[in-house]
Amino acid sequence: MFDVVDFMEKMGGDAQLSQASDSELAEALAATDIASELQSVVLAKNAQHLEALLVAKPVCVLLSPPGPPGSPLHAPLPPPPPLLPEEEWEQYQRER
Amino acid sequence: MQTTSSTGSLVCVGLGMTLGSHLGPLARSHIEQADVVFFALSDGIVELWLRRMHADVRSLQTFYQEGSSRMNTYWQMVEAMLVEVRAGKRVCGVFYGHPGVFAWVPHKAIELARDEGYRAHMEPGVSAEDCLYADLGIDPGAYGCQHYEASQLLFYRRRIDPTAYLILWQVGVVGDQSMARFSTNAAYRQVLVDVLARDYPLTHEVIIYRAATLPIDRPRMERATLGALPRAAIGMAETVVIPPARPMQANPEILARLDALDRAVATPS
Repeated sequence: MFDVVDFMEKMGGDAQLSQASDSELAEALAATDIASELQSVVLAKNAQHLEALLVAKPVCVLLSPPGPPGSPLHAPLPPPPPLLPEEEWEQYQRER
Repeated sequence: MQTTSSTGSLVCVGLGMTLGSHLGPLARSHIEQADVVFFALSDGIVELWLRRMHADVRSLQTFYQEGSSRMNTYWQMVEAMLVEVRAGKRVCGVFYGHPGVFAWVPHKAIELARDEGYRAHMEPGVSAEDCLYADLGIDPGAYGCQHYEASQLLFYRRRIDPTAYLILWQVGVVGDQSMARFSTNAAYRQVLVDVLARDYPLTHEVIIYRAATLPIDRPRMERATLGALPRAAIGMAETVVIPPARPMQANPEILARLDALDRAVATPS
């Protein structure tokens, strides 16, 4: 059965539907058997209400930890490219 | 690196930012052909969509707990995927946006899987950064673009170039040293503003941005002054864009040198 998640996928991937006017969107929705309450929410473009109706779980979107320096919580960063030894860096600074 | 005869493998793919709009054919194929799929996504409805692509789809979100260090959470996520790799499964990790942009977990999981001798790689996706350029009409080639994780800008001494765009990620948790909170308050954002005020006037206009995750959604593109940033509503998904405040300065010395080179090339000896 074609449902509202299918409709979201279709809308996200369809050049015309993704840019549809309200009336075009209403027409596209009317051609489906999606429940009228869901159709209204899609038409109102109310993403939060749609999530609530679909009982979609709230999510956390953090994946990148900086962590304070020197703390055990500090994420091990990828190794940097070879750095200049301190004395070479100081000499470079003096010669600038 | 160890070698192993196990058939286990790991691929981390990006689902893009907007449901139905950004998922590439190769990433989709990896999802469909995996033995087990793990995910960390930006939207509950996107999760429902992913669940249609595979029968064994497991959430990594369950490891998040307010008050517990996110570092522990990240390691749990990595370990959850590696357990299945070690069991000989073809594992696909699905992440919102690009799996390798501001995402420690996929990089670490791939690194460790390779260290243990398993095949592991990443497939790119459409990131929030990509959406930002399109929605805000910014070309990073025009003035240049600096990107920083907002807390890192506070924890470390960095050089800001106010002639380029400055894009700050994870401003919603800026300054959190515990890594256990899902948000920090206006006082923390004030510290960020104080740091930025060394390079920008408080009247400088900034943009608070959030990409659309559903096709019915619209991106958030809200303009505010730098000084008003502490009072603005900024969540986990928001990014702050600071446009250039100063014109680029020509470098006459280098230009003269290049002119001399041009003349030498144009005048054959």
